[in-house]
Amino acid sequence: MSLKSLVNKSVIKSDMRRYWYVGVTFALALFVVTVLPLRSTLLYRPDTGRDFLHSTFYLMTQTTSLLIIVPFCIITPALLFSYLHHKSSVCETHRLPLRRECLYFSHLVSAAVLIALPIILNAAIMFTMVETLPSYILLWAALSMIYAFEITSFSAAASMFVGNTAAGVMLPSIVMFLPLFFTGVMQILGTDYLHGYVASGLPNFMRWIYPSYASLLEGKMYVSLALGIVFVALGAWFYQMRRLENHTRILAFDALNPVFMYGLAFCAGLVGYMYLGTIFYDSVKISMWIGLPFGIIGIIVARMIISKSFKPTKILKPIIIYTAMMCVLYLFYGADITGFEKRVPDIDNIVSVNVTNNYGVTKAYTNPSGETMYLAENAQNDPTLYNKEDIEKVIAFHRAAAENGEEESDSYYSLPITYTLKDGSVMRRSYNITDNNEEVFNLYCAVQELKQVKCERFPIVGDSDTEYTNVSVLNLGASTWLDPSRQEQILAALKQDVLNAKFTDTYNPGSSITSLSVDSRMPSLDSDRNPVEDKTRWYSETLSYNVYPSYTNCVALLTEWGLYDVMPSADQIEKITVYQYIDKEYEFAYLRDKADIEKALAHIKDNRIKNYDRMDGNYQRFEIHYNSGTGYSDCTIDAACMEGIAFE
Amino acid sequence: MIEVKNVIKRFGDFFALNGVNINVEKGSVYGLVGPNGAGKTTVIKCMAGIYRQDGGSVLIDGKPVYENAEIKSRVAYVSDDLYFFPGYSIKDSAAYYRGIYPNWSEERFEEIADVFKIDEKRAARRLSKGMQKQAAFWLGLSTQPDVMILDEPMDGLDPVMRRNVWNIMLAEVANRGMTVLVSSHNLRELEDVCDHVGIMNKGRIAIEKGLDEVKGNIHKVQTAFRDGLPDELRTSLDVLKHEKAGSVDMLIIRGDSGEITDKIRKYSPLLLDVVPLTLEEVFIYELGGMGYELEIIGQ
Repeated sequence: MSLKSLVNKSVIKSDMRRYWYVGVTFALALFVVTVLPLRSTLLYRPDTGRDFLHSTFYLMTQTTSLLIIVPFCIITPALLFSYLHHKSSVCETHRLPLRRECLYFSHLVSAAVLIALPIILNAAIMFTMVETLPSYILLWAALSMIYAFEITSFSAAASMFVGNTAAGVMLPSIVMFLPLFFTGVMQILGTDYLHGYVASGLPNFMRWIYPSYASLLEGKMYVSLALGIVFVALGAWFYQMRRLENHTRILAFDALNPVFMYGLAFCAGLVGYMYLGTIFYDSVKISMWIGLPFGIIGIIVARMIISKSFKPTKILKPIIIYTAMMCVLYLFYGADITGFEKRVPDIDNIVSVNVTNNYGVTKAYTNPSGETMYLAENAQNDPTLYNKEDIEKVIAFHRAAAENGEEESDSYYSLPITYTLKDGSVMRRSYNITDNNEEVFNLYCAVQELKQVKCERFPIVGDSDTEYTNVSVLNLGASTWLDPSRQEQILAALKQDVLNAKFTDTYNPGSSITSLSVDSRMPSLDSDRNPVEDKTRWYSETLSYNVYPSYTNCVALLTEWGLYDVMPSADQIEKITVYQYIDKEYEFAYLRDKADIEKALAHIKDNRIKNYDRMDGNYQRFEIHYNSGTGYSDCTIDAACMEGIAFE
Repeated sequence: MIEVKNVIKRFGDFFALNGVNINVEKGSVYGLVGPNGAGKTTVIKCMAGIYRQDGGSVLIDGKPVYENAEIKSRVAYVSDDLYFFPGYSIKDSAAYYRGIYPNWSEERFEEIADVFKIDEKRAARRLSKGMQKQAAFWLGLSTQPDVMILDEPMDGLDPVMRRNVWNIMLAEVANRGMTVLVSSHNLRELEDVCDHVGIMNKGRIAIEKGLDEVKGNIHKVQTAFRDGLPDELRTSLDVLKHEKAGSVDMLIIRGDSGEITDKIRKYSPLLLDVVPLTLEEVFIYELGGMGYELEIIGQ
């Protein structure tokens, strides 16, 4: 098969003549979102450095140009193949002595020209403006074209199985949003409703569907290229299979009607479930059935669209089938007929268990050198348990949580568990529990108090190569650096206190009065995974450790140094705003009078040591605004301790 | 030249073509007639390579038409429902076809321009229906086709232009041996140009013969007998229609005219007159014989 038999110049010229305005509009749109911001940056920052320009360019391409590419790449093929959707034009085109593959590839070439030329043109303009970024501009153009290729070929393939141009634009647009929609729904269902379900891999998966400049560089471009080629081949095949008499239909292939109909039904069901599910928040099993009537509406609407009539026909059978599918879904999830929810693996079949938790210090590693560096293995997140006794504790919790089921609440403790089993399979579960069920909660605490888990929550208790550089004590409105000798003492005390602490001592940040800010750095690995000797190129982090009342060693040391529970003086304060939330009643007041401020400070000092009950939702929050006007600090105490403050 | 063998085409559950057989010889003008919904346009679209048949085969010069660029480059199709690109003039369309049809002849295009006298720079979509038809013929003939397939081709053309178009096409038939297949409801016109006729009904070809043969096999007979039409005679003839006006019987009879007159003469008619039928009458009475509703409102 020669190139001449695959592409016809006359067809391409005709396409260019008829649809030149698409390319021009695309070029202008790209100009507005890429060239103009770059020009503006250069105008107002003539001394702009290469790095700044790079970051501006990066942001610009990341957020806008990819978004601009999508609609044009959907519309262009839809227009080029719109002749398939009209009786006269389809006959005129297909009576010509051109094979379908020739028509298909000729129009694809036209689409490629209409999309690629504007990108190249804008890249050329940018070249003339900024001489320092040739590689980035080239990369931008190349990545944009690769992504455009994926979307264009997808839209072209979609045009092959729709019967009108509006559907040709709508279908790829809807399909583009479906992964986002389903992922969102799965996250909500998994987190809020489906007990034990984990959808932790979905956000990462989305990176491969909706690319960014960064993900394209990471490898998505190969995925885009591969998908583009697959869509081109699929489109060619669909065109060969297409019956031309099916113009004006919504779907050109009868076999796709059920896919469209049930797809719409499930989407409508999910939307209904999400929209009205909150009304039946207390009963997961009832809210699952909300999907049924919405799904039936979806079927009726789908039949209306397929038959292009407000009088839907042939709906009884699909409604019965959809209802049956919902029953199966209910039996699977709601009634757990397969035992999915209740399954707890036998300890002899487990290789390791990975548990994640959210109740420790927040880790945020930074790489000061800006080079590509990697964290050493012992600094990675998520503890993996291999010890049999530790695994038994996780299993005990898992079994109790699965037996007792989830309890709906505004606040809960969660524990995602990932088992690696001896047969090589991976079993994931996630449980949200409250402290209402003492048995389950105690088992949850037992897991959280495992040394390995504690090390993950509070890295200071782990054995690592971390080098501590600075420690400061944070009190209300004041921060005090410690000298090296005190640093060493407080870190030793902190380590001991954390090891001794129970989970219930530490899960509530509101019960902490003073905190320690600990700066450290740890060895990093270069791109060949070799340890880096130069410490200025190590990873650094700043972790904030709350000092809880149960941390007796720390409290004793800080008290001795006069750094525990230090309060600002009333002279330093311009005003205090008090917010009070009790039994869902909300009030607030401003305290500006010095006597009131002193009274409030005394009230805070006396009462904040008492843990507020984070589960009942009642609290008082004090927002302290300082004279300097540089900022404010706040603290929250239990609403039960409100005596002493006059509320107006 | 054109062979349509047992072609089946379904639209959902409906069989638009249900085993159609058509043979069109090279250099002939074939008229395809039939009632509305008989499947004429569908079979024409199969012949033009637009529709893919569900069964059977459509061949031109022994080769399948569907997805055969070489064969389709020798076929010109003028449809009832014309399409021109928005903003395209005839000149633009000619430039478009020039890059697609290998046999496109600029010389022929210029020659025919004198016949149609349409401003080739005017947007084709802005032309009247008749002028668009002329443009379609103009462009189609410029591709120098071996086969011309026409679906209601003269619809919208004035009588002079009809004659001009047919003259050009018949000249092509005579000079180059071009084959023409034409579907039309204007049977009077077909009668003048066709040498073969195929009558379609309910997705099948009911009759396919030379025009003379079709017309020679069905006759209008006016006769009168002293004691009325004898029953024996009535039953011995293949009577498609019988009407009585006073003592005169008007009969539409299928069969050889000599045999028919011989049979009637045996009963000593007072009057016997055999009148040739027009193609339109043949069409009406043949279809009537196939159960097609012949009652014409107002008659």
